[in-house]
Amino acid sequence: MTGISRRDVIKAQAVAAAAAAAGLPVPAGAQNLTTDAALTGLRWAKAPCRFCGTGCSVMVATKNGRVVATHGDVEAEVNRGLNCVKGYFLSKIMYGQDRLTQPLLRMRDGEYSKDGDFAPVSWDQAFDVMAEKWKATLKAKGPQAVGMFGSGQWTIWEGYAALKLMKAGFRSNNIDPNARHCMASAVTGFMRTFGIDEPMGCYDDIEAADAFVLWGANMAEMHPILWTRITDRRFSYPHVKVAVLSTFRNRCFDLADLPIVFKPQTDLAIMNYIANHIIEKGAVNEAFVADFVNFKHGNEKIGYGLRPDNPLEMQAEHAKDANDAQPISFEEYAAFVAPYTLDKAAEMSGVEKNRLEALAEIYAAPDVKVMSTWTMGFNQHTRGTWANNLCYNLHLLTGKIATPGNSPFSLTGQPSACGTAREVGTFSHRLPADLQVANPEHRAHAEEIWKIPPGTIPDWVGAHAVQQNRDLKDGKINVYWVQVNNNIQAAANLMEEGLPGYRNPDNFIVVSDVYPTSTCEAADLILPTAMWVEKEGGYGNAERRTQFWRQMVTAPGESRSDLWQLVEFSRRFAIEDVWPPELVTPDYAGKTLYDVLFANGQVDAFQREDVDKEYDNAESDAFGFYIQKGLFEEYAGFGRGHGHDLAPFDLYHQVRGLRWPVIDGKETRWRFNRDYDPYAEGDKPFRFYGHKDGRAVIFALPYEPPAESPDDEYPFWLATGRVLEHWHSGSMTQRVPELYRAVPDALCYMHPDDAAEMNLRRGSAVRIVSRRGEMETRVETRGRNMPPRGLVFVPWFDARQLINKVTLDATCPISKQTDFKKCAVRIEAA
Amino acid sequence: MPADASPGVTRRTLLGLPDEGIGHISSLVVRAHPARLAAVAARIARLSVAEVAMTDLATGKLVVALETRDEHEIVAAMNAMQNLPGVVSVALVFHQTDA
Repeated sequence: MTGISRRDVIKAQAVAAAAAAAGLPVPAGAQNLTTDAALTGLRWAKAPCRFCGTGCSVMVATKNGRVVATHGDVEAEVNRGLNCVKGYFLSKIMYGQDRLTQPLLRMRDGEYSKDGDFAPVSWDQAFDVMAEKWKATLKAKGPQAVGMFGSGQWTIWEGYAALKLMKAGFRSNNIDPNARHCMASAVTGFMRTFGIDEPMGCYDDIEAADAFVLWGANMAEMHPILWTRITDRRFSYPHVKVAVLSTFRNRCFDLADLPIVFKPQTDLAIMNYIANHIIEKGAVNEAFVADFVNFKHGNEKIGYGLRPDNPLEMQAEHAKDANDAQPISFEEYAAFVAPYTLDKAAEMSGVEKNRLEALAEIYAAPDVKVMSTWTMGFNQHTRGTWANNLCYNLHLLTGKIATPGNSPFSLTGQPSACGTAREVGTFSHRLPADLQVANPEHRAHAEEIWKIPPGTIPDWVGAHAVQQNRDLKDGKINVYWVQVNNNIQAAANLMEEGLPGYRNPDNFIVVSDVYPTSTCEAADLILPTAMWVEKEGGYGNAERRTQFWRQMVTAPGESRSDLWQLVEFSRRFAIEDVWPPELVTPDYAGKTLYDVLFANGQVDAFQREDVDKEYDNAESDAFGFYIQKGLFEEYAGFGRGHGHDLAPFDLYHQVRGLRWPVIDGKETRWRFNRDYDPYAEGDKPFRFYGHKDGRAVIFALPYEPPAESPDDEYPFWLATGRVLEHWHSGSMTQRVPELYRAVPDALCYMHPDDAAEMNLRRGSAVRIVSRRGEMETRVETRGRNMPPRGLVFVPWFDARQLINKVTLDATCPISKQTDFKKCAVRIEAA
Repeated sequence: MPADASPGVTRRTLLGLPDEGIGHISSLVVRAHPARLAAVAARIARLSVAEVAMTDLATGKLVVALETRDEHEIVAAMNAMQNLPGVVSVALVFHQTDA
């Protein structure tokens, strides 16, 4: 090959791969992309990305027991060979220098001590102390004093094992996931409107839509691969329009045909105006509404989820029955939204009338298929449930729903908030497959599947995320296990609520993590944990796609997966330690908790030899049976036949995921639509079968103000969020040198005129101060985010800049999800 | 070096010294407004680590090949491209170390 260097060949391969990913013709003369394992010694296998809810698939290459490369999986429908920059560096996230490899216990004079320093201990010693603390607490105060905070980044079987351990084992409903901080409002939105969780559409809606409306979702940075699909759609079909709404200008505005910056919280008013516009213009799809919609008026003045003695709560007429609603007629609904005129919406939101009208017309125009997307702008909102309901209202009034391209699409933040937290039900009020602890039939059904005595599962609703922090501070929860999250950095109001709870001398805090985070620092016992492809796992993404991966490498040192930790811990308990005598019938007497939960003939039903011999499986080795498969199949029994059908376990290892309900190996892309969903039975084109009468609900809900708005003393809005390069609290991405260098520090994004008025400039050191705490940072007046005057934006990925010292733990009273987008601060030169 | 500076402007290139050794070859897909595509392509071509390998005017896509000393330069180049007016998204596809 004269004149062609090895470099040229590799470059040609690179171009060919990108051309294929871009859907362009591969250049002549370019070689096919080869990953000839024999030549390179690499072994490739698929895995979903470790990061966001988009659920891209990556091919992972290992060599000599280490992950050495990844690339976007060209066979994946979701991302078709592409990666965003975080996904690109997945091969590096497991190899930070300070990886936790041994259990660490606070000790003084050779014994556990709350004010001691961390010293390495063995797993045996760690579990000894844990079991002693758990048993003592159960004996002294009962299950209400036991708590667990888990994750939308747990694998499906980790979440399920934790659920069983807490609800069937310790008999406590004080288990909640960090998904409470990200998707709870989306869930309550679904449950109120449809009676069943999760989107009815899928990502295929992108290639069918005529218009996109982003309600506060910064997709360019937070769901970048989906953003590339929207971009393709927009540029390939000139009639397609993109509307972007946000409280500050962000990168999505680069693509926006209709860019809209609105005042915080006024999304509620804008949506009511659009509904009013639809009605006044005669754009209601009357046939659809007549067949498929009920109307309700939701309770108003529902408070802010603050502590009960807070004046805002005491004034709130319906703080205690925030979720209730009364049936109304369409006419009453029309009268309810009538005051939300164009003038009123413009005045409240600060948005120009012509833009609001153009937005409303996207929904009203009968032939425009519209896809609405949202994430934290709606969900992390003191009226987050309402925001979700109000967006569904627009799609229901017009019948623009459950068909390709017509899609109110709730985007998910975490990789398995859907697949684990929501579907498995790792919440304080939940059981698998949308079942609820408060419902005696649901509890009985779970007890039957789990083969445990009637009455085992507790009927009291447990403490949700924000309540858990308050209960730790107040000493009500005394033993607490945190897995796969960094809640000291993530939860609002750190100094008043979070930190005092963890350091309360009455409490014993256990944190399982991969790296030493702020949460580890606040703990008493740190357990070194395996991550991602160090264990066999499964996740479920935003479009209901369940995806599996194999264990590809061994976890370092003594670190073990969350699953192993949960199951191994259960061995430390005799059933008599955790159940009262009346439940311990002869069938259970003398058994361990492990026997009852995990060696119950179902979870241990599959042989160790069933694991594909190509791959390791540390947990199956430890317990002697194929535990992931057993847990999954027992869990899947809850949903099969009930609208949540999952495919057989083995199938997921073979394919690039499947979107449930999966019936006879076939996935469902559009639910509630008779043409696509086997559950949508009957003679009508749709059936919203989450409700018995097959109807969805349009809710009359007003604008109500935020919990804390700017005033003379604290004149700025503070919004928090993420940046493209860092995932969540940065515990993984900050340890990747390239990502760290790309964005090393958090900044305070501010309008340059606001800075000038305060005699600040780009780079000035400032203090951001609220009623609750303060944080030092530097000003940024340019770049990716451009806030309007009177608002600042600070991302929360930086462990050295804990913005949650400043934020307020007000929540949507229905979903209990914290509003991280609105509180009042002042800026001082530091 | 500030994140938005062209990664190609180094002391070595200013002094006309030969390249030390290019360690990394990668490719990206850049999406930009079709009306601005030609201008974007021209700006990207000025980055010394980048080469515009393919242009699709109709759909606003460019395939860009990078030859860089290390991965930091890849990220710096991505950032520089992301910040160009008219660019909507930049996505990595392929990366190989030419060791």
